Amino acid sequence: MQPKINNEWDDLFKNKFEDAEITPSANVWDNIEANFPTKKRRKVPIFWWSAACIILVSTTLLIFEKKGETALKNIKKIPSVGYHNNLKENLNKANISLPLKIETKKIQIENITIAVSTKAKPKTTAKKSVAKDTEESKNLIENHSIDVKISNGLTNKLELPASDTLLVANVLINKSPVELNETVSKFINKNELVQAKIPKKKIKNLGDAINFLVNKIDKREKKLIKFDSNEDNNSSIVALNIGIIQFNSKNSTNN
Amino acid sequence: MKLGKTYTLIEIVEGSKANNKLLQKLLYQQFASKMFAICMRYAKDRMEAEDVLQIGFIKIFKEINSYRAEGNFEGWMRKIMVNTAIESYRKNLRFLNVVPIEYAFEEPENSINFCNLEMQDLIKIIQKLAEGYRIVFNMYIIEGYSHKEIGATLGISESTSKSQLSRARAILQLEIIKMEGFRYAT
Repeated sequence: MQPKINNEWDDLFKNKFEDAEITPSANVWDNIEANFPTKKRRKVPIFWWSAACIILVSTTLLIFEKKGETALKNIKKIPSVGYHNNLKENLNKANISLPLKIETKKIQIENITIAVSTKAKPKTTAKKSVAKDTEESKNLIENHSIDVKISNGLTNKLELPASDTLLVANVLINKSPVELNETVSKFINKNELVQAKIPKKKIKNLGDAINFLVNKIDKREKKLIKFDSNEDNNSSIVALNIGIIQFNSKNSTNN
Repeated sequence: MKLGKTYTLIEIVEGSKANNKLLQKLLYQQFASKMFAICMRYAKDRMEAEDVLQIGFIKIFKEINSYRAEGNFEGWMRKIMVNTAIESYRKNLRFLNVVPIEYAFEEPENSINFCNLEMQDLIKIIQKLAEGYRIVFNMYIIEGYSHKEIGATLGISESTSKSQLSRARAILQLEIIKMEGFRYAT
């Protein structure tokens, strides 16, 4: 075969096909159209919404967990102060254990303990000794925390200003064990003491997290939404309060 | 086209970039038959050609944003279509049909004028070729690839590409003579 003929052939073919047109079946366009990406505009906002939700929930969880950790650390930081034996005995008689945890003012603790332990001595002595140190200690003492353990097993952690500590101390010194019990109980009941900010419950699941958030925002007795926090993994709604729609199961009040 | 407004190619391309359904359809309508002719050359039948056309156009609409106005748009589309056809051939790559040598090298008597042959007839003859021959023939003669490029694209040696082309040529010439003879006879 000669190359010349070949080239002619090639050119003929090329020319024939270069601008060739053959009409395809009508259904090809339908198939192409069906493959187009549909409604892009809608997909993007949904994605962003879900991303925003995830970020919101995770940050609240993180913040809360950190708060919880720091609270626990603060408690651990408080140095444990040995209780005076006599004070312990007296308090045990009254079924009250009162560990006074005072960070800076050991002087005062000593004074109080002495006062309690030497109960037989004239009360004035104790008062005096307390009063003696009051002025200097008042300046230094800011907050003391006292653990009051009452016989029924309830433990309350209390943080008091200096004046309140002295008040408690005076009360303890001046009253009999039985009276003490009552006084301390009253003292607590009056809500004059500020309770330490320790999370009562650990957040185990999403339901707990939402409960926590709602508690912060919604101060009503019937919350906007409440989840059952007893379940470990799955939370279920136990109470709702959205305007007209109100739903309240019995469990929800137990919390 | 029966349209209230006629669009320029630039408008059609820009509209297709912006996902305008109407202009996308116009683009298809304007180029479908040209593109389909390419597909027909590469495919063994009409059905396969329509599959390639469909895949090719989906690619074109997907990648239309990467097309820059400087280039020849039709050329750009052709390239995508040819590549799609080659890809599809490679995907269902079958062993190249071996044609008996004596048949392949029967020489035609002299130059034949096939200008009178219909496009459809030529397509039929090309589609009858063994697949490897058809691809090499299309790539070399119509698209103008070199044997080196064809070898690299199809994963064959340069000499294989050359020999396949010459066989393809020979077969085509024979087929055309047959067809011409048949025409004159009737």
